[in-house]
Formats: sequence, structure tokens, C-alpha cells
Amino acid sequence: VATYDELCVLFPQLASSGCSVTSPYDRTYNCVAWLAGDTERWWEPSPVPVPGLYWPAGLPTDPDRRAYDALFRSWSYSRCTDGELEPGVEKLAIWFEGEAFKHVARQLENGWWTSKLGYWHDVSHRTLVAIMGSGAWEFSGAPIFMKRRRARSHPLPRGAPDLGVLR
Amino acid sequence: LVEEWPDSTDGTPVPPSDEVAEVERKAIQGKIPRGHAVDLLGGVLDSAVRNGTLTWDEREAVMAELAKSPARLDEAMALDLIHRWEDTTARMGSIAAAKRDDAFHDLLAMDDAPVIRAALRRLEEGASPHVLVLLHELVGAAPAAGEDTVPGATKAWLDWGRRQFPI
Repeated sequence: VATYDELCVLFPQLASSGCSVTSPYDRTYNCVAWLAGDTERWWEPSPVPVPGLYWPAGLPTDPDRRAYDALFRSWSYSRCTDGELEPGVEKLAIWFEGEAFKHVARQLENGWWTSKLGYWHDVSHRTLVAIMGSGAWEFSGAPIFMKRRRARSHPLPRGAPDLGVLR
Repeated sequence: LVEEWPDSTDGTPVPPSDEVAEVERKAIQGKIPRGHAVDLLGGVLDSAVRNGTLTWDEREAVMAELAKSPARLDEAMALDLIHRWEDTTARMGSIAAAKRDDAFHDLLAMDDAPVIRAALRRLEEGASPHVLVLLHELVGAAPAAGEDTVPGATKAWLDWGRRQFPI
């Protein structure tokens, strides 16, 4: 189980750029589930149903960009050019390596980002650079961005802290 | 494998893990016949005796335990590989991406039965979407069909495993 200190070793820029661990270590859900406010399921497309994985019916099921793009568009996100904070707008930063999905982070109202880091913790980080780099555990390459009008209150999983008030 | 080493939990010294891992890897990759892996591990133990890490009696005890059950060696190797696969891909939000890792392909290259038993033992340690995908790959969906949560699928696989194997 990774501690905060261990996370800071794996993602060296996390501590220096400002971050807060907002959940326990949990292997039950991934970053896409976290975006959906679901801490019970691992959201991932698969051409054949795999017990334990969940993907909404009616969306593409090949594990590629098209499937994730369709999911995020079904939540009213559309492509945009950057991750700059805009009042009333909620943005996503999404990493792919080729066609393979790697990670998605959601921008909070205060401009910070929230990420479920794989099997590890949910983390609020001040910048995207905090989880990016060339290290083995960091996300490499430029993310793509999507945005939608910010909901008055984003559904949060049971027991999750109000991430929007972090400073 | 080191975790599974006989008596390793009660304070008995364990062999050098790097050398054990190297023997495992060669056996799994087919570079040495798996049946000879025990002999090679004997060589590792001999070195440990020479450098004072193990006593001769401890070396003999370990070898006797391994000789009793070659299947146990395969299962321990598989469990070690599963842990390695999870650890090296833990940051990823997608198991499809994690399936590109060498350890996953090494697992598929082994005989199914010890890998399945090791996967079930790993699930007994706690939730693992990686292992749910591995079991699906080896066995198919039937034992946990329809379960779309990680806890639900984990329970279904373990129920199936207890009926199939003495885990």
C-alpha cells in the first residue's frame, strides 16, 4: 500500500507542486469510475463482457480512444484546446499512449485537478505537471482536453471529501 | 517465490531474491526446462550457504520442501509474476494497457492450472481487477458471468475456485 511519501517518490513533482491525498488506497475502482462518482466498479471497455469490469451499454467497446471519447461525450464533454481554468467550465485532461487509454483527471472549481492514480489513492493536485514526466510511474506526452459546463454540484462518491474547497 | 519459501514466515532465512527471480524468469520463458528450476534453485541455495546467508540444514529443509511438490513451485512462480504484473502497471487506469506488460504474457505462457490457482490465491488477498481479467483470459466469463462490480466478481471467482481447487 503506497503512502503519501511513497506516492511522492513515484510522482516526484506531486509534493513540490502541491497535492492532497483525498482517499485511501483502493483497487476497486479506476480513474474513469472516479470521474463517474462510482467507487464500486472498474470502468473499462471490453469487446467481450469481463466480470468485474463495467462499461455503459450502447457505447463502443473496443479499448481505444473512440470508446473513451464516446463515454466523455455522453457526459456532455466536448474537445477543447487547453486546461486553463474558466469560470463555470469543468475540464478533463486525458492521456493516451497510441490508442491505449492511460489516465483521466478532472479539474476542480479552484483550478486544481483530481486524479485516481491507478490502484492507489485519489489525489488533488495543483497542476497537471505534478503527475507528468518521464519517470516510470508518471504520465508522459501531452494530454487531450475536454470540457463541459460545470454542474452546480458534481456527484461525489459516498464519503468523498468536498474536493472543490481545497486551497 | 520468496514469500512462499518454506518457513520464510517464521524467521528462517530466505535465499537471495534477485537470483531466485532470475531462475524463475528463465524457467517461465522456457530458457531452462521448468523441471530443472529446482536444481538451479539448489545452486542458488548453495551460494547462500557458502556466503553464510543459510546454514546447510536450512538449505536441505528448503530443498526437501520443494522436492515434495513441483506444482507448488509453478504456483509460487505464477503468484510472484502476478504481483510483479500488478506492481509494474498499478498506475494505469486501464487493464487493457496493462496487458501489454511482459509479466502478463509470461503468465499466459505458463500451464493454466498453477496460474489459475495462484490467481485465486491472489484474490483471497484482496480485490484485483488485473486478476479478474487474467482469470477471464484463462477460464472465460462463466464462473462470474453478469457480475459488473469488482467485489461481486471477486466473490463469484472465489466461490468457483473453492469448488474447483483446494485453495
